[in-house]
Amino acid sequence: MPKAHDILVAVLLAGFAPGLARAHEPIFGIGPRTIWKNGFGLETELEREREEVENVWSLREEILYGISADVALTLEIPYLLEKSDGRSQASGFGDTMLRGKWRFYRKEVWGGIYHAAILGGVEFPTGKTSGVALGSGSYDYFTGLAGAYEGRRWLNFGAVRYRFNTADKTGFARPDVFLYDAAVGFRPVLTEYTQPDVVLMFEINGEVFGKARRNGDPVAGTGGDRMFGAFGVWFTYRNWAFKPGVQFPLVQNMGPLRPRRDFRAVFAVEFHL
Amino acid sequence: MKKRLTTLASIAALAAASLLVPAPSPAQILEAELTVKGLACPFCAYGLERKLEKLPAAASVAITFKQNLARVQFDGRQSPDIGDFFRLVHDAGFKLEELRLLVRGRRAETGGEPCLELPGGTTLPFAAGGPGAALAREVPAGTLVEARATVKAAEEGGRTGPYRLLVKSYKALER
Repeated sequence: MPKAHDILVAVLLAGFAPGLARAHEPIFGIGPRTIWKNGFGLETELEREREEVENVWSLREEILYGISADVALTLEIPYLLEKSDGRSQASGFGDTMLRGKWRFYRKEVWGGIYHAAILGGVEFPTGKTSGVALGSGSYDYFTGLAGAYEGRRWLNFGAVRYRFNTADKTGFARPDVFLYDAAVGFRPVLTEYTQPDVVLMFEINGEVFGKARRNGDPVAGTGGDRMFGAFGVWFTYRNWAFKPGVQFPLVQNMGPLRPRRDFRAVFAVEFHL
Repeated sequence: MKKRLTTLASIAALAAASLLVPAPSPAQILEAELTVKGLACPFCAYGLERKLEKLPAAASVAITFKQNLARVQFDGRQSPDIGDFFRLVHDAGFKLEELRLLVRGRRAETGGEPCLELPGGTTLPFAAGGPGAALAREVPAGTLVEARATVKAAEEGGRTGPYRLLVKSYKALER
């Protein structure tokens, strides 16, 4: 029999799917944008997430490097400042992720760009799994596809991802997740290069969960789907970006073991050098 | 006596300084205007600025979204390779649609074709059309010429180049 606590932790961690703000992209989704060749980006994200009695405050440090103008690598190191399940709490490093992006298509137009990228990544079990777990205890993988048109006034993004979660040492595997994102951005004032720039973002983020598995067998009460709406803003000035955003549930059809998410909020600061 | 010694010391210092600081080459790219496709947001264009700053002797880079333009001023001590403009813009994630130069070079010949010789021995043949034909006909070889010109790049086997200069205007400076 699966332990309810295991499953609770597992489905909660599944919410840590890759896809928070990075580069000039949707705040909760993902886009095809890469960084220039040999460019570095540093991003710090403060995130708050609440799901009924579950409460998480976390910091993420991301280091982005452009191998070429169309191939980028990102190392993501999460640090959970506080994770509480209503009874106890913990803090420490979560699961580190290494991901890559290959922008296989780009068509530059006047004042805009159409582009698309293939995404892939691996999450390493670097977070502790005892007590209030901060990591999954398993190597997990994701792959996906992202496309966008980014113009001066309007920006449109779309992405699909699939996350494969493998079993931990106890034979428990969190559910695989299919994620889809759509986002629209609007730049109310067309500023010049040396002026501060503002883009308003609206996003739809969906997650479809498979069943959790124990020793290969599906676990009852797991799986389901949920959809969120999100508002965010990009404030950028040259190589600095400030990206606050809040995500709220629209639909949640999850199993009885999964707490309902109340909200998720992110404040990200990114610096390119 | 003391005044004379001071004067001599000043002259010696100036002579030493002139040996340390290389004189600007008479042949040089003075200014480049790059019309760039894909310029949409300042945060992404920062990479273009960083790349263009890497051009040899780039003194300043100014990007204007309204005109899809990046303007680079050079200090004249060195001169970038024409291919660097195309490569760096591509590496920044954009497309260089047109490159216009204010350039100073020697009127020369390459492969039997009239051309402008830039610093480092780079030769740019004239493209057909425009005042380039008059320049080739009327200005003797070896003359220093200042020209405003558009660089025409041929696309060959996925690579950009070789390049030709479509001269828009010119003036002969000296022999």
